[in-house]
Amino acid sequence: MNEFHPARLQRRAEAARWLLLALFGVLLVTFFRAQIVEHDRFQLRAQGNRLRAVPLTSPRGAILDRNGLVIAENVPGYSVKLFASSRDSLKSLLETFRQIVPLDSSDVTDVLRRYVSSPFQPAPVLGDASFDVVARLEEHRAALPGLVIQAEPKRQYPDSQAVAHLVGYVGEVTEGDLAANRFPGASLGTIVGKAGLEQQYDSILRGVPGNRYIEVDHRGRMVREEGAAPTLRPVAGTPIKTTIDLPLQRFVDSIWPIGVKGAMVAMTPKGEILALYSAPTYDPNQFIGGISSAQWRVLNTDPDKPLINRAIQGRYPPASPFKLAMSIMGLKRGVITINSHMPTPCRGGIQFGNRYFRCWKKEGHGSLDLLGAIAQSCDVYFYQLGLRLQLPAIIEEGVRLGFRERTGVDLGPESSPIYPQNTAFFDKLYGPRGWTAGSVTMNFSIGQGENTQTVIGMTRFYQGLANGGIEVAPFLVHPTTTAVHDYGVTPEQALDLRRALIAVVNQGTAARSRQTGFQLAGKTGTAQNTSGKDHGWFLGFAPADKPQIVIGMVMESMEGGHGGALVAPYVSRVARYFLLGPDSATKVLLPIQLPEDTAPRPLDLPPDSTRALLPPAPIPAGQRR
Amino acid sequence: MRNIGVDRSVLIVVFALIVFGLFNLYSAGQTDVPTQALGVWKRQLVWLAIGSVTCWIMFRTSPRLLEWAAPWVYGFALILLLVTLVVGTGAGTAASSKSWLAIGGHQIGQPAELAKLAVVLMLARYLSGLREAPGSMRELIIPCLIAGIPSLLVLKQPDLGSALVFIGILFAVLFWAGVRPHLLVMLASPVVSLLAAFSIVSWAVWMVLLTGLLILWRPFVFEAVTVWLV
Repeated sequence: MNEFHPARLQRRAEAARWLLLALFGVLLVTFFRAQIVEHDRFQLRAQGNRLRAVPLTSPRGAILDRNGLVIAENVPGYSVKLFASSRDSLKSLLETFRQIVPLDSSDVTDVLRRYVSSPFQPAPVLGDASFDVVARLEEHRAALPGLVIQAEPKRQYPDSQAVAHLVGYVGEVTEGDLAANRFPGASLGTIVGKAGLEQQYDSILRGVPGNRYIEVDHRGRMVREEGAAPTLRPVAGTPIKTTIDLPLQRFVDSIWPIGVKGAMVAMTPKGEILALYSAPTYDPNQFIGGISSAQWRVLNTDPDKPLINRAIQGRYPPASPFKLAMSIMGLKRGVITINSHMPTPCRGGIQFGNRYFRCWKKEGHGSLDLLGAIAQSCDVYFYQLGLRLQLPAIIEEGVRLGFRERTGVDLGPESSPIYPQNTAFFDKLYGPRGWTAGSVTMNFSIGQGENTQTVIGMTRFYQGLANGGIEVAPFLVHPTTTAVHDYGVTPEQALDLRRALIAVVNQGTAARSRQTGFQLAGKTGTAQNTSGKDHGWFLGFAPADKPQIVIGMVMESMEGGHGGALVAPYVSRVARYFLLGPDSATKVLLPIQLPEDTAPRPLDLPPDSTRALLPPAPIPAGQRR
Repeated sequence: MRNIGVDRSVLIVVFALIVFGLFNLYSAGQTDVPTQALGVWKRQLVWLAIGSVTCWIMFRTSPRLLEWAAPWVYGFALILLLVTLVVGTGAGTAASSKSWLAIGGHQIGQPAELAKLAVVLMLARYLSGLREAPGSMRELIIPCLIAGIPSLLVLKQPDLGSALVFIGILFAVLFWAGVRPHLLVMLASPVVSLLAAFSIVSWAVWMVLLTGLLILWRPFVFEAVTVWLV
């Protein structure tokens, strides 16, 4: 029988009908499941396809000084991003972009690299665009599909280089930071603190970024920029109030001699840091919106290393200021009193074993008591004090005085000072027979040898001296520890040491920086620098009888024999500014030679013009105010 | 108008689908920011007109002419498929496959589409030429080759979706030509086994079903298998 007989066709048609009905049934069930049963799940997934999140930067909290003056704030800025569906389309977009706003080819590479790492987010092109640039881009918007211009809060440091090492700077979080989870809560593109206070208090300052949504089509091209989905508002960061005295900080920056490296820390006797400065400095504002690779290279390859915070990261031999630590050890252990003379008077040096150890003063100081030895900074006296104490005691007491510990200041990575734990340190360093206790003791007695300290660490020590032998931890916002540290000297001994520090300024090595209006107490120092000219120290506090400010300062590679004497006038001026107000110290008096019929007369100069003058001319006698 | 054998209900269904399709295309173009989808429904109208004319011509063509043309069309389609493998280009979401023929960057069409028609014609010609519907696996070899060769060529592009369409065409035509269902099930069984093997449960169900069918249709299963193997 023919297969195409109507009866057979009819039967096959019947079978086919049932098959098709069954298939439609399956389709219906599937359709029901997708549209009704699992509606919510699929809708969510569809939105994920349709919407792309654009992070909204949260405004960072302001950083304020002790009186509420602004150290770091936010100003309105614009960020320009390009949204593209593929690397190639971004590339062609950037070509168009470059005709409107010039871009380096390295910048283009950078944008492409960042696009590849997060292709579903708009690629940041300009982190900080000027209004002109934004206006020009808006004009050409039709030629740039996917252009996203966002008004964003932009960090600004009004005092730029004066506060650089203090506040640090901000920048986009790196992939390495994210991998190490150094900034919890941050994601690619988040702006985080990279140094200084910005880094230390990042979690408080940062706030919570929000999200804006743009709508895209199936190929990831932008269809709608506004109103695709409700915006998640960013939460602003919390402002922090520091202990900094901003005018004082500015003043330090204004008087710091150009070309001199060094650092300065000023704090109250309670440990509140009033000013913290490191030179050379840099402009933290250049990091905002992404630093260009050229600028970054300049900062990083500068032999003066401006990015290092010398106040907390620089380590210097403590030199003569360490003689106060030696004095405390001697007084505490009872081997001397303030009136003790040493058996050998200073004749410019002392013979010890087969070596001759010099005093800084060739002519010698003669026979001095402890007060005189501190005032004159007589090395021979302290050599003998060190020999009396013996090395193990010096090391043990030094550790107890805190010379092995960081100050724990709430600011960035602080360097640990170098101070031996015990004499085994020398065995390890030189071999058990490679060193002799005698010469190491001699070196330690005058603050040299295997002993290097940070500026903030030494300033902390002098803060303890200012407090009568009670030291508190320095801090900028919150103290990391409230424990106080007792040097173990009696109040009378502490007063004696203070008298000695006053004598340094009034008749000793810092006599030139004597001031009227208040009494400065402190100690100069000249640290031997194995790789060049000596470093000058001055550590002191004022007023001597009731200290309000403790200042420590180092200037590297100073000319002249006794570097500390060159540093002291700067400390003196900072103290004067803080205690007597701006009018007293902003003017530098310089003798100007006028025609012979008139007597030399001082002339007032604005502070900026004197920055290049090094060293600063001493204030002539009789013209002090 | 002379009745040329058009099923009125089929015409109505096709017309309804066309209208539904037009509405869909129009709706897809209505976005806030105009895209290329905006004018698609108008282009669809143009194609509709062309399609209608072609349809009318095809109805007017003698089945004998179609029968005569079938091998030529089939051969031409195979040649186009081979050429496509060498000079084909990708398009749209399948940019990496070689499915399109283009001249001077202008896409002309997918040879796979022509091949589908050609396979239908060729199968129809071959099967209608037989005295009886194929009754054994051996007799199914030629129809399988007719559909299989273009299917493999399309699979090589690679375009699995279109390749599977040829298999569907093969089964539909064989069914309509009167090939017994058990033969079709047996023909499909290796592929179904393979697909069902992704889950042990589905594979077990399929195997039980297959055994059941064999016992139902061929009580002498082992004998049949032995005979077929010989």
